[in-house]
Parts: sequence; structure tokens; C-alpha cells
Amino acid sequence: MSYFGPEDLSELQGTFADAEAVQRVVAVFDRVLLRVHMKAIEDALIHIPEVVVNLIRYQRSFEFVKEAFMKANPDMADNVDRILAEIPIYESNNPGRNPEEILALIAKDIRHEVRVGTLATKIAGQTENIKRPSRDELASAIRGFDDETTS
Amino acid sequence: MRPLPEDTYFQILAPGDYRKMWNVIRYGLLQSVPPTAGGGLDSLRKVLVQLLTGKAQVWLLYKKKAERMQLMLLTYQDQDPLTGAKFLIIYAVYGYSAVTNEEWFAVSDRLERFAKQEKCGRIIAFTAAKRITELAKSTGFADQYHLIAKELGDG
Repeated sequence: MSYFGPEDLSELQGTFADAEAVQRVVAVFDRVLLRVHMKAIEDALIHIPEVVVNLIRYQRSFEFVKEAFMKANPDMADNVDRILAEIPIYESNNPGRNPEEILALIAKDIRHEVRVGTLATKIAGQTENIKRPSRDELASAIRGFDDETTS
Repeated sequence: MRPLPEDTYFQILAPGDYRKMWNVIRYGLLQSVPPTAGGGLDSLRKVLVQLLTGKAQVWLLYKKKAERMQLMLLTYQDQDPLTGAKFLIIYAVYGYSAVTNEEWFAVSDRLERFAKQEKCGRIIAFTAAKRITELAKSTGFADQYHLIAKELGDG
């Protein structure tokens, strides 16, 4: 790899009549620039901000969700975006858990919500015209309560 | 805490109660949920999901021997999105029959105790009923804030 573009080379060739000298200058400069380049990358890696680390972790979680987790939990296929959004929240609420455990917790809660949603749909029914409950219905509901649970 | 009058009960429903109580409370909810709720049966189903998961609560005030349902309240705890301050929301209030001042005072005390137990700094209520507003003001609620809502069409 050379750091010199065609314009740079043509300028050097205009300056040095000796083509070999041009190649030597290019080789020395490339070596120095490569060293500077690698040092800059090293410094950047050392000082890499936490947010970038989190992005990388997020990306890794994403890959895990997309592959292994989804393969093992096909019922979560419609919830990929939600799972990814929940990961940081569950991580902060469950410190020390590994990514697999965090994902399992999220999946457990989503499954619970789905079950509750199904139950809610069953209870809520599809009646379009909801009428005011009759006096008898209200009285019957009151009879359903136990005295000891009231205050 | 002021006592409830004789034969009067103020009960919070457990998630397991909603199956048998839904017919009774859904009408009250439809009549009283705030404009932020949207509308229709799907909104009602979503409210039920929150009740079944224990994220929201329904309270009923009733007279046991007289078998008279009086009041239904739906509450949940929330936080101010900007400051994180925690509060109890009275999301819906529906009256099946008349509520006396004495009954309201007792209800208000129990809600206050519940809010404090849940570490809420204040109680905020949505109601379209003037009578409820007047009763609430008599127990220390201030009504200098107004929620105004405008329905927007699709166009």
C-alpha cells in the first residue's frame, strides 16, 4: 500500500530526474506514514470512548439475537426490534447477567405479555355495544367479594 | 385516616378478579378514560392488559349489604419523563351511584396512603365529572392545571 497518489508521484518525478531516487523517497515516506498511521490507530483504540464499546457490544448482541437466539426461540421472530431495545434496560436492571441470561429474561417477559394479551382479548370480547351494567349485574359482582378482603 | 361509613367498602381488585368483574368495569372505563387513551375497544383491551399484569389497578367503592356499586377508579404509578418525579395517576373515575363527601374523604385518604406506600410524591387525576372535581378539591387537590384536548381527523 502506498500513501502516494498519481499526482504526488508525478510531482516527485518532476523534482527528481532519477526514477530510482523517486522510488526510494516514496518507500521511506510510506514507511514513516504507515508508522504514524498505526500509532494513530493504537491511540484511538486505547482512548476508544465507552459509547463505542457499547455500540460494539450492542452489535454483538444483535448478531446473537439474529442467529443463535432466534434459532432457539423462533416464537420471538416478530420481536427482534423490541428485544434489541430492551437489552440495555434489562442489563442495567440485572447487573452481572450474561447476554444469554438477559435475552432469556426478555423472552420470558414477552411470552408472559403475549399470554396476558391473549387472555385480555378473550375477556374483553368483541362486543361493539357495551351497555351500562344492570343493577343485578352490579349486585352480583359485589356478592362475589369476600368480606375479609375488603377495607 | 377517616373511616369508611358503615357497610361501605373500598377495594382494590387483584389481577385474578378482572375475568369476573370485566363486564361491570368496562362500561365505566369507556365512559371515563381520558382523551390521551385514544378510543375504541382495542384501547380498552390494552387497559385490561395493564390491569392483568398489575401495572394498573381498579378500585371499587360499594355498599356490601345494600349491594350498591358506587365508584370505580383506575390508577397507575408513573414518572415525569423529564424529572423522574414519581406520582400516582387517577386515570379514570366513574360513578355508578351517588358518593357522599364522607365516603370521598375516606377514599381519598386510602388513595393517599397507597400513593405514599408506592413512594409517589403527588396524586394527579383525570376526570370530566364536575362533582368529582369538587369533591377532590375538598380533600386538597388543586385544579389550577387544565388538560385540554382536540380531536384531529385523518386529513
